[in-house]
Amino acid sequence: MHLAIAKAIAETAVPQCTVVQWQPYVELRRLYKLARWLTRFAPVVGLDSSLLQAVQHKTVERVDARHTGLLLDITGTARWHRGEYALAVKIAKAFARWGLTARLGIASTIGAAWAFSRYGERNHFVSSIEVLAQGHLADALAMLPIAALRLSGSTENKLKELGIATIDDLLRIPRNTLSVRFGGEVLLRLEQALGLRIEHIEAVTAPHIIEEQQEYETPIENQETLQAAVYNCFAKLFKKLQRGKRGAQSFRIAFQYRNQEQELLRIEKELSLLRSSADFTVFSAVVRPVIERLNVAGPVHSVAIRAQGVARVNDQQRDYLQHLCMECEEAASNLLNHYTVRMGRGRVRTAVLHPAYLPEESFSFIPIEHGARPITPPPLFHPSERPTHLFTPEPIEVMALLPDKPPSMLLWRGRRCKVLTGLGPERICGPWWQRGMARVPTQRDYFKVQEESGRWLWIFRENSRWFVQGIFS
Amino acid sequence: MDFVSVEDLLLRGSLWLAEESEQSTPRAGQAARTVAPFGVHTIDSALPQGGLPWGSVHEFFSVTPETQPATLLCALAGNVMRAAQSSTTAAPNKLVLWIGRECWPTPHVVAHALQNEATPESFLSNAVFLDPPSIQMRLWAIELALRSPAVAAVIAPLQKLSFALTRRFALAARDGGGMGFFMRPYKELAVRSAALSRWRVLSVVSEGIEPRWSISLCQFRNREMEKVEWIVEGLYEEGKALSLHLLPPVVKRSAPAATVLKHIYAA
Repeated sequence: MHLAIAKAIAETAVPQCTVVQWQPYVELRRLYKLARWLTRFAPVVGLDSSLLQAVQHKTVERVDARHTGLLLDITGTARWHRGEYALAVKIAKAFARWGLTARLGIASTIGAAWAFSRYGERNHFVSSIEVLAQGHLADALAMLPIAALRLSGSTENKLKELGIATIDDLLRIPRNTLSVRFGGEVLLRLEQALGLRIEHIEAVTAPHIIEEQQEYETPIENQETLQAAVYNCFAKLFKKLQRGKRGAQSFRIAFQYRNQEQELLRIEKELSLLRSSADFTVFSAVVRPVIERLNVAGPVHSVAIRAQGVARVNDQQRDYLQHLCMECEEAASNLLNHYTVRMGRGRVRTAVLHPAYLPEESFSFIPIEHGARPITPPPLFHPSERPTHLFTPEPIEVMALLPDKPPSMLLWRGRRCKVLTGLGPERICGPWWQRGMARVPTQRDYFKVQEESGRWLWIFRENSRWFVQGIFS
Repeated sequence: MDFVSVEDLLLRGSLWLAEESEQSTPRAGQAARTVAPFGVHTIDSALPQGGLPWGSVHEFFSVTPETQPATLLCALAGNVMRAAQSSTTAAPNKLVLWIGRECWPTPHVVAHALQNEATPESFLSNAVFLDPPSIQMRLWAIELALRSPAVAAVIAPLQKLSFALTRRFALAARDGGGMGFFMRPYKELAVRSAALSRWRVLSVVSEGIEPRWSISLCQFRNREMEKVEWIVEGLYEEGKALSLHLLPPVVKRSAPAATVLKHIYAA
């Protein structure tokens, strides 16, 4: 009941005080939120390693308050913020706007930054920033108490009993005897603070991986059993995805198997869909032929499937009138899914027109994306002026009588063709305003010529050389 | 005596489905109108059903790969697309597929051919271009597309097709309800096929810049047709889709085309 007594004492001492129950997990959630918000200042933001451990062991309520900080990896971002000091001021001001007081420390190692922020000399929030050059790390750390080394309570007490109060005392002891005398923790923390051991920040924003993994005690040798196992794995993965109303755009399947020499090998296969899908029935129809063709050379020990490009999938409401339309759209996306899974994204394309005069730049075939309908600007020329098939210019030999008239004979792909009629020239000039273009822009004189079989060709002259670029068919 | 299955007979072409020989009934989810127009009135009226029936395969034979009637097929795909649009199933999501990189036309022509008459927009975003890495993959892709109800037309160049394959495609198209337009080399006109109609197309010398072809229907439903030659011109008009027009017949076929033919036969 001493909690109630403490509350009573507090209320008599400060009559206006309100007592709030401490909820460590609520605070942890807020800390995560804050960490995610801080990613606007640095790409990697993480929690203190001891707090992270406590989160994993679900013992957050037992964590010392000193170990509940946030870590920011600001390497390389100083230029964005015009110096580390300016960055620290910015962060401190941002916190002040939230009504929070922050103690900041910047150093070249995580350990040192932790020490300066907690045990730095001055308390005022802006001046508590310690911006330190690399070389003086040990000197600056030496003055601080050993508590600044992120040691556990028992180790800290043991050191204090032995009369070791500051880091300087610890640095005087030969380093190779440290672990024998006080255990591995002291040496580890000291070396981490000095940058002799590498330490990582585990980012809170790391993408949430949705994965399904299955290991088999007795390896699978039968092809049909393997298919069933993969299918099963997919079904479980889809259940996971559906729980969060999410769908994945591609899946990476990895198998571990042993070959005849008993080496453990790993093969991977990627399946990409046209759009994120969360519907297993649709997906299974697409993926079944791929699974059936799996050929793993040896007994399989484990199967792992990872969902990539996970995005939220909106439940589509089925309008009665649009029912037919929807069916058609489903069939269309199903068909395109079949193609992208079997042939890959690059081989299924859609066309876009660009407002450009150079014929080869006036359109492109882009890999198809669902939902993103390309906007087609009105073309700059009449479609009959452009050939049905356009290819990279092929050099030809011609016989031309007059410079500004179409040639009378041409030799293309080893065949001599007599030109019956021709139209032109149409002069097309390259984009001279673009940087990196030659100072003298490319100028092409295009002619549309009809050869004797009735076929129209699109030829051009550039710097007195002739090329064929297209066929009207 | 050997026994053969019905499937075999179908694939060999000794047996035909009753539905194919008579007026085919519209299948579920298919247009109420059973045909899509070819786009030229004279040619449409020469066809038994007054157009190209839905769910059928048509072959176009040209002399060389370079003279394949790409623009003509774009125009046909446009006609098919608009017919699908105006029919009962409101299907703005139907696709037109070009299968095989060498047959991808320039998107300007496609955009113009797939122009929607009612609204100024084009169905260009419904055009899909496939580049299958192997011939097997191409055949697979064509069959899958024909079988899908979401496809209005499939355009592909094909060579060395066996009768069984053409049969497969014809059956697939019957299931899906879309159109298959195949470009094939002239030499293969002699090989039997299960395609509903087979056309010979030659490009012809024209005065203007418009593409012009000499088109003749060689076979319809595996029966020889009497040789009628139509001269058809593709007409590009501002704000309108690429359309086909019949020109008055010429007395003699353009000499160069004939010489090329002779050359092919000699080879």
